[in-house]
Amino acid sequence: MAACYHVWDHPDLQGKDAFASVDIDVPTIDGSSTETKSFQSLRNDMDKLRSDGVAKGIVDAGIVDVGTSTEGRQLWALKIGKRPDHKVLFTGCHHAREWISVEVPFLVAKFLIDNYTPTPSDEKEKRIKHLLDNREIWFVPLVNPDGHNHSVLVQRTWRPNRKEYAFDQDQVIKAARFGGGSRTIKVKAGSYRGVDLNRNYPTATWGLETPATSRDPADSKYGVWAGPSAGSEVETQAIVALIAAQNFRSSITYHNFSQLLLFPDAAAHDTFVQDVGKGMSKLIDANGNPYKYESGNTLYPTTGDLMEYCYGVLPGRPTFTPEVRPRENGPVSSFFSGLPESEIEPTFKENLGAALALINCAGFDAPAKSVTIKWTSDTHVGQVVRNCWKVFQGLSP
Amino acid sequence: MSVRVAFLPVGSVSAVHLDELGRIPAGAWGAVDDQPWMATEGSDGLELLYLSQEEYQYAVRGLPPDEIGQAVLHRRKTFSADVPGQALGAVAQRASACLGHLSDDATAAGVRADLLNALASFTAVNRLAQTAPLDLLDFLREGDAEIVAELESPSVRAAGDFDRDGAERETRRRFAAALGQIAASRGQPEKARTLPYFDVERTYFVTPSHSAIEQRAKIVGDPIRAWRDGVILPMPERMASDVRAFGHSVTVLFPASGPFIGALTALTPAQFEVELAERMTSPGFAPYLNARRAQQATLRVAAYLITGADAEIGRVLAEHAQEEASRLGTWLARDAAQAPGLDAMPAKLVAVVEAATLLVTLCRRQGRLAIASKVEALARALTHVVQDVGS
Repeated sequence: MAACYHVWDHPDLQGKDAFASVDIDVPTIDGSSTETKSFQSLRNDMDKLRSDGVAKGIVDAGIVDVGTSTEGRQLWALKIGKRPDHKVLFTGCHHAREWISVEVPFLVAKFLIDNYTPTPSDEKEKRIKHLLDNREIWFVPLVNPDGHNHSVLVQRTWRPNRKEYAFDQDQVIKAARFGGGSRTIKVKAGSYRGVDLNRNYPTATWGLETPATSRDPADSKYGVWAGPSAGSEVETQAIVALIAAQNFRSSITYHNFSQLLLFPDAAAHDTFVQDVGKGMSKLIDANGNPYKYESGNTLYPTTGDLMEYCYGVLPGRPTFTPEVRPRENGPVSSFFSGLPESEIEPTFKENLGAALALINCAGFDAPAKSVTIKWTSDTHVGQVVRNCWKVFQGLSP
Repeated sequence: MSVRVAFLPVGSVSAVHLDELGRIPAGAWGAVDDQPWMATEGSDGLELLYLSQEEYQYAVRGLPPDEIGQAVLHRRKTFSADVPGQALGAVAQRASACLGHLSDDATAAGVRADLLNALASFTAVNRLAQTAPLDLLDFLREGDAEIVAELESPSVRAAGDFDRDGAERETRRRFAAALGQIAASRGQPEKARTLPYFDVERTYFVTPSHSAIEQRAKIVGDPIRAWRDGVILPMPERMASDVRAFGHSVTVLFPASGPFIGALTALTPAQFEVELAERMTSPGFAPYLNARRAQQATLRVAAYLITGADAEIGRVLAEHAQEEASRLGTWLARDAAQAPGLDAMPAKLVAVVEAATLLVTLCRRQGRLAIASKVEALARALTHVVQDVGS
C-alpha cells in the first residue's frame, strides 16, 4: 500500500525495486522554503503492476503510455482485463497540484492486479476475476506530468500544464459567456504559461466563460485558462484520441478537493447514469465519510472538461468526477496539495467500491449513440443498479 | 552556547535541563542548551519547538498567557512532528536571510557569491539537477519577470522606495532578454520577442465581502477567511480597482497568497489575530521581495552549476550571477530596516551552522540519515563561508 506520493519518475529510482522511495526537497505550500518528503516513481510502480499483470495474463504488455506531454514525458498507462468490448477509462491528475488524484486510480489498478487469481477461492476473488475476465480497463493516472513535476519541484500550488504561448503584441479577445453575454479581454504582449487541461477538451461549449473557465491567458497562473483553442494541448489530444479509439462504456476522472461525486449536467435525467452514480455514492458513503452527489455545474459551471466531453461523445455512458479528500481547503488538510500521506490509503479505500461499480456497469448494454437510455421498466433499472454496485458492498481492500 | 526552545511531553523523561517557560497538561516547554542535548545518548524525550528563544518570543508576541500554550501545541503539530522533513529548508532559509546582512562593497559581494554558491549547491542543485537547461532558463526568466512586475505594481510603489531609479528592473529585464536570446537560438524563436507575463496577486482584506470574489477564490483553490466585517482572500491586483469601484474597502494584508497560506498553516487563531493587526499597517512587502530576490539569486547560481557544461549558457549565467551578487547588496539593503554590514553577518551565519548541527543530530536520532547528510553538507559549506570572512 502506498505510503507516499508518486512522481512521474526520478533518476535516483531508476533501476531500483518497485515501491522504493526517494527523498525530495519540495517547496512548502507557502513557497518560502522547502520540506523533505518521500516519493515513489510512477514509472517503476506502473512497470511492476504491468509485469505482475502480464504474468497473470490480465495486462497488455504492449501498452505503456497513451501519449507524450508538452515537455516530452510519457503519459503512463495500464490496460487491464480481457474483454475488449466492455471498456472503462480511469484518469487522474489533470490538475498538477492534486497529488492524491494520481494515487486513487493507481491504487485501484494495483488492487485489481494484486487480487486477481484464475482460481478464486472466496467471494472477493470471484468478483474481481469476473470483472477482469469481462472488462478492459485503461488507467492513465497522471495526465499532466509536466505540471505535476513543476508542483513537486518548483511551485507546490501549480495547477495547469506547462505549455507556453507567446503573444507578440497586445491583443483583444471577445469572449462569450456560458449562459449568454460576452466580455472584452485585453491581453498584454508577453508569454503565458499553463493551460487548464480540464477546460481544454473540445466540447460543444469549449471556451464559453464561467467563473471557473477563462479565455484570458492572464488567468493561466490560476489554472483556469481554457487555452488558445479547443483541444490545443497535447495531453488533451492524447486522451481525446484514446477515447475515440476505445469507445469506452464508462469513465471516471479523479480530482480533489471537496468530497463530491459529480455527474455531467447533461446526464441529470439519464436514468442509467443516475442510478449508477447514486449507487457509487452509496458505496462511498458506506465508509463513513460521505461525498455529496451532485451535478458538475452545481459545484461551479465549467466548460471544456473531460466529464462533459465524455458524455458528449459517448452519450448514455456513465462518466463521473470524484472530488476526493479533503472536504475543506484549510490548514488541517494542508490546503489539499500534498494532503498528508496518512490520508492516501483512507481516500483510496473509500473510493474503491465506487470504482469497482463503475467498472462493473460497463458490462451492461448501454447503447452508445442514444442521448439517454430508455429503460422500459423500473425492475430492469433496479437489476442493473444492483448488478452495478451492490455486489461490492462491504468489499474490503 | 546556543539555546533552543523544546517541549517535554508529560510522562517523558530527559536528562537535559529544561529552563521552563511554560506548562500545559500535555507537558512543559522551555529553553535548552545545545551541548547537553546533543551529548545525550540515543533518543531523548525532548521535542524541538523553536531554533532560538528570539523565534519563540516572536511567535508568542502579544498573546494572552492561556493562548501561549495553544501556540506551543500547534507548533508541535506543524514543526516538531517532522523536524527532519523541515531541517534542510529551515537551515537554508536562515542562511539565505544572512544575505541581507552584507553591505554593498566588493568584499561583501565576494562573500555573498560564496554564500549563494553554498546555498545553491546543497539545495536547488539537488532538487533541479534533472531539469533541462532550457527549462531552467525559463524558470529564471519567469523569476526575473515576476520581480519586475512586483516592483512595478501600484501597491509596492505606494509602499516605499524599492527600485526608484529602475536599475533593478532594467538589470532583470536585460538578464531575461539575454536568456530569451539563447532560447531563441535553440529553437524557441518567440522567446527573443517576449518576456514572461506575471500576474501580480495580493491577499486583501475586503470589506464588506463580495460574493463574486469569494466564489473566484473558492474556484481557484485559494483559502478564504472571514475577519471583522469583511473577508481575507487572495486575488489579482488587476481586480482590486474594480472591487473598489463597487464601493468596497480593499486593503493589502499579505504581499501574495503564499504568506497568507503560510500564516494560516503555522499560526493559531490568536497568533493570526496578532499577525493581522500588524499587517493592517504594513503588509510586509520588503521581507517578501527580499526573500524572492534571494531565491532568484540562488536559482541563478544553481542553474549555472547544473548547466556548466554548456559553454554558452554557462558563460551568460556566470556573468549574470556575478553581477547579481554584486548588486544584491544594494537591492536588499534598500529595504532592510537594519544597517547591513559585514560585521553582523558572520555571527548570524555561525548561529545558522550551530542550528544545523543540532538538526543533524536530531535527524540521525530519528534514523533520517540521508537528510542528516544533506544538512551536514550545507552546514560545512556555510562554515567555509564564515571562515573566508574571517580570513
